[in-house]
Amino acid sequence: MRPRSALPLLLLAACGAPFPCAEDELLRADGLCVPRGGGGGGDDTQPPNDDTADTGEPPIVWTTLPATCEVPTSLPADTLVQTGQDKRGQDKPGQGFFVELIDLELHGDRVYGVGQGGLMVYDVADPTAPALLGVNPSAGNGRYHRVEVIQDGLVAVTHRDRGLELVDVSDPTAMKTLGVISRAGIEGLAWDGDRLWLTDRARGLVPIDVSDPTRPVEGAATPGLSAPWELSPILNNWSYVSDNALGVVPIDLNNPDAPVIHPAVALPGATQHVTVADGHLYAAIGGAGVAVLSLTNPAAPSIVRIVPTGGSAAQVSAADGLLWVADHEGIVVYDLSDPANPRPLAREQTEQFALAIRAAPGDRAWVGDWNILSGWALDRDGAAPSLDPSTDSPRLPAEGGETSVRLTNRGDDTLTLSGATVGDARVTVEVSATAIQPGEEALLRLTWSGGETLDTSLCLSSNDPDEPTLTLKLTAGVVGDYLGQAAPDFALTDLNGDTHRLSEQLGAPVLLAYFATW
Amino acid sequence: MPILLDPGGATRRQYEMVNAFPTAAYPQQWLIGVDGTIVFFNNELEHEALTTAIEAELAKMGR
Repeated sequence: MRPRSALPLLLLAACGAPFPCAEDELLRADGLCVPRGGGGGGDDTQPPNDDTADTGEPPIVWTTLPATCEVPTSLPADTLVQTGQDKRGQDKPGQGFFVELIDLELHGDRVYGVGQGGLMVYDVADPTAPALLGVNPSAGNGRYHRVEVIQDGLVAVTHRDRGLELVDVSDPTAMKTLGVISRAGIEGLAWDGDRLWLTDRARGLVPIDVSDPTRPVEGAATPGLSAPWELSPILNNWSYVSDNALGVVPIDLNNPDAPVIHPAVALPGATQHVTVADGHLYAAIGGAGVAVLSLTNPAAPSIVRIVPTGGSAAQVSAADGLLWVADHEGIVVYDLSDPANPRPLAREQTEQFALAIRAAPGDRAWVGDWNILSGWALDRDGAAPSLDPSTDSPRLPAEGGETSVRLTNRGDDTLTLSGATVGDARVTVEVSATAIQPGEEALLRLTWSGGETLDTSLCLSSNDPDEPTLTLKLTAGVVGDYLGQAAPDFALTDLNGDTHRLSEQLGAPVLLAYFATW
Repeated sequence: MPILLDPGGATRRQYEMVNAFPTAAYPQQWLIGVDGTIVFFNNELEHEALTTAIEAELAKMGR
């Protein structure tokens, strides 16, 4: 999303790499910047009503679907299925166990997860019945961010405020913290078999001698990082830092006593997590998707393409020729037969927020879905479409008009739209195509005549085996408890000590983005 | 893009979003229109809906 520069005041706390394009340019899906209004296809910011006249493409021929929304009599088998889950959800505040899984590690028949709940150990010997064995709570406020397995029974975890902890997990019901390095700003972890590497916001890359886990010893730091989130697994003496501000930072560990931090590769999005497979690096970069980089020169990865996932890519994991992505909304699986060109195979919306993922043997993966650990299996021999709408709650102009929803097929078989019904006769529904090939998209155009408040739903049927009937909520005008109300005035100071009053901004739109509201 | 501090959360409570995800751990976004009323809000990651709302308000300014 690129708000126009005319937005006079944007109250937003954000971190991430600088947007690589100029103000009058768009970022194309392949990572190139193109002028607005033409010069390239595939961008996400075409106005909803545009019939592609600006790009020279043939005008869209809109089709009305049959006024029906029924599950087709014949559906392909779902290729991506959940095998089991351990659910410690918090359905009501104050009840249950708040987990918030944000990082996972798989080691044998154990999954180690960290988050607000602390360090959780799961038994995953039976993929259909993962079971939480024990919890090492994160004392005080805040959460553990990263976990790394050092050896059987010993893991390292990091806490942004408290530092590094080495934990004996040989008995998950009675875990013991053995050694601690107390320092704020520590997060990323990687184990090279001999020493533990961690990232420190203030000091850079730091080696840790954990030969005596009760007395971890820091080595000399190598500066050159900015906002490091994680270190990739170390392969061939190379690791890559996902630096939220800089992008991907190559680390040469051929001489571990003198690591070399190479220049960062800026990416179009906040780099959150990276993995390496088959001579390529895959970086989760939030709303932009996954960046694919070639490691022909490991010191200077080069961008090959950007692959939108439909959500906000948070973690990636590769194994056995598959790339698994957790993108907040759910998970997406790609075929890496051509490592430079990941081919979508399946997508699944998870119950909560998919923030962590680890590939497992046998075309499986474990997903940290906020308060749920879930196991998934892919049927690589199967083929099925997967409908992914750009929004599940499109809003129409209050005074009447139209809007469009992008329908993307993230599966590996043709998606066929078979019908649509709307609960309000003032709304018409048209599509730009009834058959959508794998990896491609069509537009769903909604038009309404205006009038009193619109608050209805649209049902769309297709041959997506996971969700053959999809419901979108349609709204327009003043609905809900907030829309149309006067925004409460406030006067707050910024980081420079200057006061900003909301009422002084009247006449221009203002975006308030509250983050870290806990 | 100024970052404003809300110590104590008094302003945040004025913008409490009912039925938000229970932990409220995700950013909550409020778009205030040119007339000072709330025209959009969410606490999900729906970039396009927010973009549409922002562009509609900018259009009212002739931009």
